[in-house]
Amino acid sequence: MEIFKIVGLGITATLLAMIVKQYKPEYGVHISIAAGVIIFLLMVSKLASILEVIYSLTDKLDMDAVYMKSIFKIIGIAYISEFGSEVCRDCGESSIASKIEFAGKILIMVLALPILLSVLNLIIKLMP
Amino acid sequence: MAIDINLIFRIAAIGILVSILNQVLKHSGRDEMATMTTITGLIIVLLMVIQLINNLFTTVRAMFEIY
Amino acid sequence: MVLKIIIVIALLLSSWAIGYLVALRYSLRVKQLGYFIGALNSLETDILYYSTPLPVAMKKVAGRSHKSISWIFDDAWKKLSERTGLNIEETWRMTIEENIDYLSLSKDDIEIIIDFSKELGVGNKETQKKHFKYTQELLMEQKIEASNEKDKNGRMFNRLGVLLGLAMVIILI
Repeated sequence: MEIFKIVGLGITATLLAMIVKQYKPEYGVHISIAAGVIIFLLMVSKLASILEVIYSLTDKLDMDAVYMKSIFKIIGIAYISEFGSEVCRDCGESSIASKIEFAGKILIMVLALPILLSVLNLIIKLMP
Repeated sequence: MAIDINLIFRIAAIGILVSILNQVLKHSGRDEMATMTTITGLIIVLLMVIQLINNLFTTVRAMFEIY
Repeated sequence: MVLKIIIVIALLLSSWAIGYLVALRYSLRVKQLGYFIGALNSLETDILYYSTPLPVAMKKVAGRSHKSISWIFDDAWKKLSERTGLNIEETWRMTIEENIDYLSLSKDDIEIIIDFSKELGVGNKETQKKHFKYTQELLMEQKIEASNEKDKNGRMFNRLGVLLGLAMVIILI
């Protein structure tokens, strides 16, 4: 069961980070970043297979692959920006964290615009 | 360096070691060397973490964009 | 796997040894200074109270002092008996400079010791006595300073050796 490995890793890292933070707070942050990244990387293969299944579904439904790709890109941007902002907030720099989130929102908007436009086009066509 | 739990132990061990070294050096009066070891330790740990983050970003890019 | 453990142990042992050796130098300096002061005492008694000639006095002192410094007097005595025509100061200086690697004394200490030989055998008993006392006082000062340094640095280098070895092991495992 993978979940035990992940939980074990998380708890160990938290305890170590707590100990180290007492002496050298800078190192505690490194430990939490490393723990987060390692847990994500452990889950990557499972995530990849989920994405494949979703893609094959879209093939069956005969939908244009571009839309699915955009949605996944948006999910990717959301995840990475959340990761970055959480790390900044952990160190106490909440202002930098909000800026990162803001940038993520803008980029997602940029990606989502074509889809929005095509939806609007469709609606305009349907209107009498 | 392999991507697994040993990395976290290594970072924690370097942190604790640097704090011990710091105390020993400060106790004998060599403050400049103490600051130097702290900074060196930070750089080493930073390099390890940056490698990890690089791995993360490459993986995310591969998964979410090329797919 | 076993090879890794062997390498780790080798690294740790060697780094501890290096730290220990550096710390040892400091403590040896203190000890050798102490032995030297004692030997000077011996020499003073022989020369001023028993009026023994210098080479014989040196031989006696070589027999009585600690082996880490007895060779100085031994060597000096041998050179003086060879009657190569050099005076005391040059013989002494040659002895010390030839074997300087065996001593853990600092440059200042060695200078004091060499300066001592310049006044050996010059002047009457009173001046010799004063001269001995003066050299002994100088060496005593150096010993106190060396003792302070040893307290400060000795333990530090000991611990530094082990800790740096540990750091290497952790970074390179």
